[in-house]
Amino acid sequence: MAAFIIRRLIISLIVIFVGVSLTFFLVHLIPGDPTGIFINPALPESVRQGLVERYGLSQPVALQYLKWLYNAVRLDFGYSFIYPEKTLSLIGDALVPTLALTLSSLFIGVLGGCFIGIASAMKKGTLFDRICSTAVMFFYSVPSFWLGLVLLLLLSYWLGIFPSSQIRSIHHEHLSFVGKVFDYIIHLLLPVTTLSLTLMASFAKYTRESMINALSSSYTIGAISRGIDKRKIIFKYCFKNSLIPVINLIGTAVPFIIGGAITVEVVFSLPGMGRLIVSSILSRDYPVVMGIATLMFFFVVFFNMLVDIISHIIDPRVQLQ
Amino acid sequence: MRRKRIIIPILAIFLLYSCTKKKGQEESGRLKKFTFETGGTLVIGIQSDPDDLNPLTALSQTARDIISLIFERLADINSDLLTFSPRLARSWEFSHDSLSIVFHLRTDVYWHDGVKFTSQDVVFTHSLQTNPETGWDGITFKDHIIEVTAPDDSTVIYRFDQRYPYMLMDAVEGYIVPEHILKDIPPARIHSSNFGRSPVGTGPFIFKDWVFQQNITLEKNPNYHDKGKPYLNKVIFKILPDELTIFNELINREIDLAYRISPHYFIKVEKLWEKKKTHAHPYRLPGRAYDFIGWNLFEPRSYFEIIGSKEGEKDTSAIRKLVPHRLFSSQKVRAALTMAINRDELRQVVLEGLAIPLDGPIPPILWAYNDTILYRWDYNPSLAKKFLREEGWRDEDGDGILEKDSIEFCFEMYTNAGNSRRERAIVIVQDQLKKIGVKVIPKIVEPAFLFGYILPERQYDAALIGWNVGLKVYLTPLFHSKTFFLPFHFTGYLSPKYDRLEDMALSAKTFEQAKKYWNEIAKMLSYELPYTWLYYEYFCVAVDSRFKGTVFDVRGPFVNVESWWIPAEEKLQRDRL
Repeated sequence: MAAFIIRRLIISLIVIFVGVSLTFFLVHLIPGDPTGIFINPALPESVRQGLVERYGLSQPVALQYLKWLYNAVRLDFGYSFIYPEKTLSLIGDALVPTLALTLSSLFIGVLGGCFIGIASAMKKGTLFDRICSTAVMFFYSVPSFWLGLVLLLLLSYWLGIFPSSQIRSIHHEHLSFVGKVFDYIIHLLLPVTTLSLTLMASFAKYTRESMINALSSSYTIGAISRGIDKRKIIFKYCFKNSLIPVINLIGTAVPFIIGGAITVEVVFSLPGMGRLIVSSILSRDYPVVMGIATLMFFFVVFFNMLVDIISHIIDPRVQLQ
Repeated sequence: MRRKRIIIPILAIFLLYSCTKKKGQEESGRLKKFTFETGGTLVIGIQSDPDDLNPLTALSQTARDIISLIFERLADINSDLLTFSPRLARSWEFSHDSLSIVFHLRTDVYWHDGVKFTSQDVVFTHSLQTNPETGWDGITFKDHIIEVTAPDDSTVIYRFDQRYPYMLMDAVEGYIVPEHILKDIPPARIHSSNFGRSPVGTGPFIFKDWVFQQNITLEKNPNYHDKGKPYLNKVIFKILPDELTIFNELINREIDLAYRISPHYFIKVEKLWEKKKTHAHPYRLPGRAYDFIGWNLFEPRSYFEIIGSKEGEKDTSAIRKLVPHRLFSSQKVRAALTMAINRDELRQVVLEGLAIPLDGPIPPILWAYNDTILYRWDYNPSLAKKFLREEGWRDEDGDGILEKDSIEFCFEMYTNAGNSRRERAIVIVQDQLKKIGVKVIPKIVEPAFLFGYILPERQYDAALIGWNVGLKVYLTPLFHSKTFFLPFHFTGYLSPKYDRLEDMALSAKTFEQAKKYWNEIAKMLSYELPYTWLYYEYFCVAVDSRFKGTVFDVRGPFVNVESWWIPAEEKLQRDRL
């Protein structure tokens, strides 16, 4: 196990290095520069040139890359081109809402998806299964931004039950501790529902298929014929075996969750990484784009490694190679 | 039975919801007498964070809006955009030789941290503003100021190298910053200093906090020099990137003020206001922005080969080697294209009528505007066709596209992505020009690519974009030959007559003298058409009707926020927190 983890760590570092290096050159090789967004004809050329010098953009891209790499290794991602703030501080501010959104959506999505998948598989062919399968197909197919807009329109704009934007109300500081927690929950409810419904559909679909295979397998039939308790068969044998593809799905789903979070954050005006990356790309805020890209690479690679280890723990037959 | 059980609660919820709404609307009464009371919160919806809150380094318009509530100038411009009212300066007078302005400062002004404001702050601010290392974008305003001195704590003297109409405007341009906070920071480091995230000014509102991507909170300055003001306790800028969210929060009273509302949503607000279904009072103001089509007067390839490849050869000899554009180097062609575009239809479709026609380079809000002298190229496709025929353009192969010397009348027109107004406009222009046999290929690209590469490198044929108008009449970056190689002079317009007229306009001693030259310039450009001016937009604002004392004019929505108040009868629960 230790050898595997060390090997995977080395591979992960290489993947992250190659990924961020490619991202750096791609971002810098697109024509245009951050000074172009301040489209004011009255802006004196000296100021524009000053901005180019300040951002270090007059240097060759290779030199900019080496400087960036040297600083990044020391976890110094520099200052944002746009805001008077360190990149890491901006990312830190944006990371909390994104983690709250993605982790809670992942938790609810996986748990709910597995539950629906198991129930559906066990009642295969019944009305319940058909309703579940239709709902799963619906939420699996609809884009999260559309779902978010519908929920926003219905529950926020028309019925006024939920707030339509932000992660907390503007008078958050006047609330008690319990009030503050409730304030966060009520603001996160719609975005989490949006993201978790899509995730839930994916996991329900995979769990159902996996469970149906497990339920019709020879070891299940054998267990039933030996008169073993049905619950034990389902949860100890079938579910455990059908869990491995589901766990692998979590690993591959991470990039999609991040992608979904970007859309959901924009729809619900959440102050997270999604909004930050969109605005940084549009304004060519290279330090922030690179900081976020590094973090995203790290997340995806780390999650996939974690999934491999969990798969091995659940089923030691899964080889850690 | 089961169905009934479901339907009844749903109906009940809807009935309850509709009753609650009506009650809220009836309470709004717009003709009541109100009881004056201080306090309350103004929540303003904005689409993005400001880049910076340091007046010396901020570049975005959002930042300027917020800064205007925290900092002050020596004097504020009036709605005529020509005269000024006192602010940090009590009064001012010109010296006998008219080359100096003496400002007498208020003596009852304190910075938000309690330190007294003095003339040394003004002198210090000027030194930073004119230091290129600071990177202040208004540095050109100070070009003619040779010295700023402070003979005592409440007097400042600005000395100029010449007499000209904009002396007062140039002197008071820029917000005054505190010397005691910034004096130890090197000018080159000011942009990354903490001052940009926690500014200290003298204005009516004190900066409290900035929660990135969420909101920026300002609080009442209890020591503000205009005693008793501001009447509101708090101003919160709520960052909502989506326009639909801003619209809905405005209608639901979650925000109180929205500005730069797009026509689509503004028309909706107006309709709701007319039907008394919203508290958001819409205002149409003369705006500060216009859209145009810029025609590249030189072949893109020739610019790249001659100028782009040879550093240091950016002089007149290089200009002579440029090849005139195959289509747009002819004034007659540009006039034909202008006449082929139905700008009235464009205004109606793209801006739902929330714009006025524009035919020349000077917009109606500026003192130099004179629409009687402009050449007008009204919509006239048959005359446009005639002009093009006279220039030798004919559809010889019957494919609907004009040709001349085996060259098709076909070109690319760029605009920036993310601006739905321009994206729609470019398609309509494409359709209109097709009717006279001109083929347009729309190119919608991201703004940093367009403004950072395509236009500065002149790699385009035509571009449909827009400018915001400054308070000064100043066209040098767009058309004067001395800015030919700079990014904003992307049409390549060259005219010695124009250069002479603008030089004279800018050095005229009075506005009357200058106006004569600006008239000539406007007439000349409206004939020569380096741009086809499309429309001049309205600035659309909506504010919750519980706010009284509001003034909105050409200067924008933040002219007198310190004088806004909410009657006791109309305060919401959040106004009392």
